Amino acid sequence: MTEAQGEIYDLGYQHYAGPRGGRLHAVRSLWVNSFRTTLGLGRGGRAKILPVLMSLVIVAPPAVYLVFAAVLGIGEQASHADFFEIMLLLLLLFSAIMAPELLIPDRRNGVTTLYLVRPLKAVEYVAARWSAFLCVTLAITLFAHVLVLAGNMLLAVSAWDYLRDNWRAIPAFVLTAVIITVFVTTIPLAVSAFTERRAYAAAFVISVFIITTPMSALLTVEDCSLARPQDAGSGAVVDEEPRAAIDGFSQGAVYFECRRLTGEYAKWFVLLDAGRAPTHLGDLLFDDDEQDDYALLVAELPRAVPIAWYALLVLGPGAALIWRYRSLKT
Amino acid sequence: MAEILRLSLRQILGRWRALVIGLLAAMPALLVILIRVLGESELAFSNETIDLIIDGMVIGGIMPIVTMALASAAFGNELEDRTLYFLVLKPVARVSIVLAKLLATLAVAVPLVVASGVAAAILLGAEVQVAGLLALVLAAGVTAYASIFTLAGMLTPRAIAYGLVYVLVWEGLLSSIVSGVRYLSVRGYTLALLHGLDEEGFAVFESRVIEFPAAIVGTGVVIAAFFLLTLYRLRTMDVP
Amino acid sequence: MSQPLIEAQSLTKRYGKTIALHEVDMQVTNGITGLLGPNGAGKSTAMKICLGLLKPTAGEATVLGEKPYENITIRTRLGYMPEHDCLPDFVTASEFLSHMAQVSGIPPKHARTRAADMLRHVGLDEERYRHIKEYSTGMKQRVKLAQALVHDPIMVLLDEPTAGLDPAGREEMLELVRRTGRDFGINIMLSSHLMGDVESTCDRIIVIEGGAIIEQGAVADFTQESATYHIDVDDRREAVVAALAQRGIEATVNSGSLVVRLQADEQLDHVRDALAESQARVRRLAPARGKLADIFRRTAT
Repeated sequence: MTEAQGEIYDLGYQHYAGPRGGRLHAVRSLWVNSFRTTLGLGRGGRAKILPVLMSLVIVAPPAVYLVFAAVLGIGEQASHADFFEIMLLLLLLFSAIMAPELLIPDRRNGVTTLYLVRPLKAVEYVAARWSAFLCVTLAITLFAHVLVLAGNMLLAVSAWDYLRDNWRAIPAFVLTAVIITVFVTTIPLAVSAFTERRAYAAAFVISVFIITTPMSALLTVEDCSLARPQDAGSGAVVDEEPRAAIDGFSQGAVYFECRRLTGEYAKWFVLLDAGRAPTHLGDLLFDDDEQDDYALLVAELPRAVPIAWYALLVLGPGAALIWRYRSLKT
Repeated sequence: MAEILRLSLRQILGRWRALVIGLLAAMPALLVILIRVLGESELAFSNETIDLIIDGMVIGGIMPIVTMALASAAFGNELEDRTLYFLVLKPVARVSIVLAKLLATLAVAVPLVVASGVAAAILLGAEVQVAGLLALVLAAGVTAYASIFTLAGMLTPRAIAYGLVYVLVWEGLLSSIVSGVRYLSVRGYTLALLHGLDEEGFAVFESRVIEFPAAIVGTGVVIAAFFLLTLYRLRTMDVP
Repeated sequence: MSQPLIEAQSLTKRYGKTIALHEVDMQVTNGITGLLGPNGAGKSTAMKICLGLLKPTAGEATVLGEKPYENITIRTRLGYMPEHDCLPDFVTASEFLSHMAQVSGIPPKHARTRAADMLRHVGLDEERYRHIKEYSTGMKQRVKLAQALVHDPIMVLLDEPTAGLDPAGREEMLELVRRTGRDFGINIMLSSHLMGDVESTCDRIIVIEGGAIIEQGAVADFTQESATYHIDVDDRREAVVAALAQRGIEATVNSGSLVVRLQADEQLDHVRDALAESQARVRRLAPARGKLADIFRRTAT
């Protein structure tokens, strides 16, 4: 029987004499594969549901804005920075759900071994996966902001005048998109490097981000029972403008200023709201002077701190990801 | 049925998972303690803390995610490991299997989520009565989520992913824009139940709640309907 | 014979205090080479060093003229089939092989043709558009082999290719290995803990145990009848020993049999005479099985 089957297989083996690529070719092939995996292409129909659904959800707010602007001509010109704030959580959701697809099945099925015996180093494997993932996320984000731009142009009296006056918004939103997508892709990939179940990787990332926002808010909450006259203490200047986000009240001629519950620590605790790290850098790029608590408190810190914090949030997980793959037992 | 319950409990409490989930649930209480240590005054059980801790952390985050992770694994793990077959072969009514699975989830999720919220509330100085209400409502919310995600875990291996989309996009984002969405949102029911039971104490939810009776009916319907759907699914599915 | 495909010189690999390979010298030349040894002998470690996945602690290995851990580009001409599972679930075999060929450096258009050809060669022509998850163990094993060959390597390393297969599947896999070596002209190094596998497929054998090489050479040398004979007698064993000793032949007792080692064929006559003289009732007088069996019996126990 074995003989017979042997006969059937035998249609003559041909050696391959065509062109062969090297390491660059290997990285590029993996990149293309990662790009397709992120969008659920080349797999069953069910694999496409989540990426397509998530992409639509991300693009929905700008699309709605554009539709209102174009068809109905209603709405105010929106700032790109505001859209980034809404999109951050959605982008994070997209990445938290799709990042595990890129790393976990390969490890669980042992396919990683097959990649690592090909002309690829572990770092190159991670780099190809990550950069393709980043490109998909970035493309979706940029597409969304092109919609916003289009909406803004439609709402303006003259679209071209708008573009001439606001062309700076384009490099600013491109750069912000890069800052945000680097952030939202790196962290879930790093988490995916350390767990074997895709669902738990996603749930972990999302719960951390959901929970740190109210935690940060609570740690920096204002408490007016702590209010004291503005000039109390070391003879501070009385006529100084009270800071915008700090509430206060006047009693007679004395202005009482509420204070943060955690006092001096507050400006550090606010950083706990990790999701604001990338959008805040974006705000700085847009010269957005919208002063929310985060911006106000961070402004009390040296300028380098928010930048360093962002870098830490990206480079830390990035380093963990690379370390994990370099020390992977195959 | 007790046997199935015991086995299911063991499945739920994997080592790392238990640790991470426990830590997540302990966060509100730890936060309040941290503020007590570092803060210049004490936090009270006020509108602000209710909004940030009870809604922001517990109802908006810990409750759905913890319950989702546990409930979707109830049948999800059995399907993934191809062990549902053995369970279904036992001379036990299907309704008992679904009930055992749901109870196993609740046996872990309810104490965890209730403790998470109530511990923070008591540390903030909530009255015992209010803490009791909170415990009751959180238990109802957990049961509703558990019912939904037990079915979801049976339908798709990506239940948690869909669940996250539902919790963040539907209950979180959309329900704050389109008020009608709150009628189809467990978070909406939970807030309305709290508000309905103690309008003064939970006045902060005033602007985003649906009618109290609607919330009661909604919670009951969700629990019952998804339980029955799960049962129907288990009866009709091809067990692999 | 030209330059060896793999050459190791006092290759040593330690993991902490455990020594996986100790001063290994070996040469792998054209054809099919078997790496035979019990589990934990260092076979996988040796293969991983050859693939450049591990760096040796001391000594060096040269594969296709390069140091694999320094120049990973040689992997475009190397194939590897791991022992453990290594296949994705929800991808068709055809798509998976085409992707793997591309990662090994074959341009997309050629990769698809190679993938289809390769699946035909391993007998998975009809099933190639099915998801790998639906495959049987034997089919998966063939996909694993196909992915190692899809980029037409000069040499392929197979780690326990018959592990986990039933007897029929094992025979099929070994036949495929033989065909790969003989008909496709791809050089093979395969590892196994089963002597039968190695004996029936390989041209050369390297026997490894406890991280050291015990023997290496052509299979023919190993299986050649040795000059060792077993003698079983019903009675008078002492008399036989004495008679043999008189003729200068030393006999040892091994699990009930007398074992004699002969220097020359003429000594067989002496054995006959000794047996006749002792008047023992002879049950068996037979040459021992090959050297390989001896070595293997020794390593396996």
